[in-house]
Amino acid sequence: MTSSAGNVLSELQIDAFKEIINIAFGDAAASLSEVIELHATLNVPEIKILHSKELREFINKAFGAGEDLHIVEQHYTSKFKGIAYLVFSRNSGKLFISLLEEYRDMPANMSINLLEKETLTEVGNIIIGACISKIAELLLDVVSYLPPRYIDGKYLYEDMPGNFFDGEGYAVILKTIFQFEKADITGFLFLLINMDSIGKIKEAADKFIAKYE
Amino acid sequence: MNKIPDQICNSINMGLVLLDNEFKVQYWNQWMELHSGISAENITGSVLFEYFPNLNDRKFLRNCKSIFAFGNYSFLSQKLHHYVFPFRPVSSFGYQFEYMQQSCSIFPIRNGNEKIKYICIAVRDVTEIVAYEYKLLDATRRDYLTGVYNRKYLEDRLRDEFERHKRYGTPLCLIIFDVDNFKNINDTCGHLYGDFVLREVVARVESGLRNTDILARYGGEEFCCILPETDLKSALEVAERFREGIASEECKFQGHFKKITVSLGVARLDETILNTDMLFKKADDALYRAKREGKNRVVSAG
Repeated sequence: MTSSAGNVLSELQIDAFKEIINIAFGDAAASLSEVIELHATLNVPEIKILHSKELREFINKAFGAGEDLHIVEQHYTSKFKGIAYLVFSRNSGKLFISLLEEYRDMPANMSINLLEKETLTEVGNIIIGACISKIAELLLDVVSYLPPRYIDGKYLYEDMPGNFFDGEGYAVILKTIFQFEKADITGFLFLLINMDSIGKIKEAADKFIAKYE
Repeated sequence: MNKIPDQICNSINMGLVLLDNEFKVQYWNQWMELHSGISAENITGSVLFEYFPNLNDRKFLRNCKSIFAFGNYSFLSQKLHHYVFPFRPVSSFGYQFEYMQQSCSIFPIRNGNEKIKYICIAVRDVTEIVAYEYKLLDATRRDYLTGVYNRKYLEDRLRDEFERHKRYGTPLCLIIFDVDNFKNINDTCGHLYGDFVLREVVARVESGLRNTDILARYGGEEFCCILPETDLKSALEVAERFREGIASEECKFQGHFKKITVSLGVARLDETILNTDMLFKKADDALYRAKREGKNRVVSAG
């Protein structure tokens, strides 16, 4: 966590928020397993708070050159708003689609590239929705979403939305690794939460802390 | 539903369907009545799958289940699903498609307690957009002179077919062929005649192809044909038919009469071939053997 984080949320608030996310993701994994009929596990998330100017560098580091990645991007808005990025390596993407048995029903005239891109976008939308909705539930909130957008890792840097990183705000970053049964498939979920939402996060963290005081 | 929202929902150029958690239809707007031929009165209260059994599949269900579970929005793209409701196309471009091409979004409808009571399916007819997209795509895939596919599309499709072969082990063959003495044809009869020869070669080959075969101009006077699900023996027969068809008759154009021949190399994808470049190289080596051995012949790479 950067030094700036301390000015925004206290250590205790960050721990409480982490716990909220942890509970939310536990619920999300359980429900997700039912919806997509694959057992899913979401790891304890890593939380960082960064100045918006540091975001690009953070994403550069996290995604490397980006060339070998499938990325699904989705904007969401509620009491907290931001962008979710779901990231798979090409190989994990292929394995995941195999597990979903999508190749089996693939029409003969459809290119594998298109199938992979569209399936990951559609199922990515469900995974992102699962995680965000469970956080929203704990914050007694209802979320709206824009349609998900597929980004080929090769074009990641050209495709990053500029306006999100401008200005003097902060962003809360949640990074979690999820895995699916039967295969070693790992994906990352990054939730960039706009700092405009920090008041809501503080409020939620304080309520959570109060329960244990 | 009160009067004004009802009028909006019935006037909007979009299908709107409301389902409860047992997939029973609770609302069916006029757009849906018009395109399905099923009245709201008849379908309301029925399980959607009684009328549309195609929707009782895991892809549609997982999207709906996720909305009831998470309250997220689902977006069923035309590219992946083509359509959700099998309606006849109505646009002037519809003749290209068996069913109206649709892009659908599904979202939750909550009651006063924020509990999800229904899901709403919004259906948009995108047939016309898709038809234009196909036209544009096709223009980027075609060779302008001959009308067959271009090299870029050939390479993309070969990569796809290679992947399919790796996954399912289905046989795949590649034919590369080249017009014999083409430089000489251009030099003696002119480039217009040369262009005619290229178009004529395509015309004589194309009629014997299956829908799944992919014929492309590789460059200059060189062509390639991908034959999916084809073993070497059949591919050699196809290549021989190409050769015979082209050599059978003189090419007549603007006072020039010439017998045109082609040389062909045929390669089969096997476990020793690790990428598409290796397959090209193998077929190309066979083509050059055909040239060296006297042209107007088919050579197998084995």
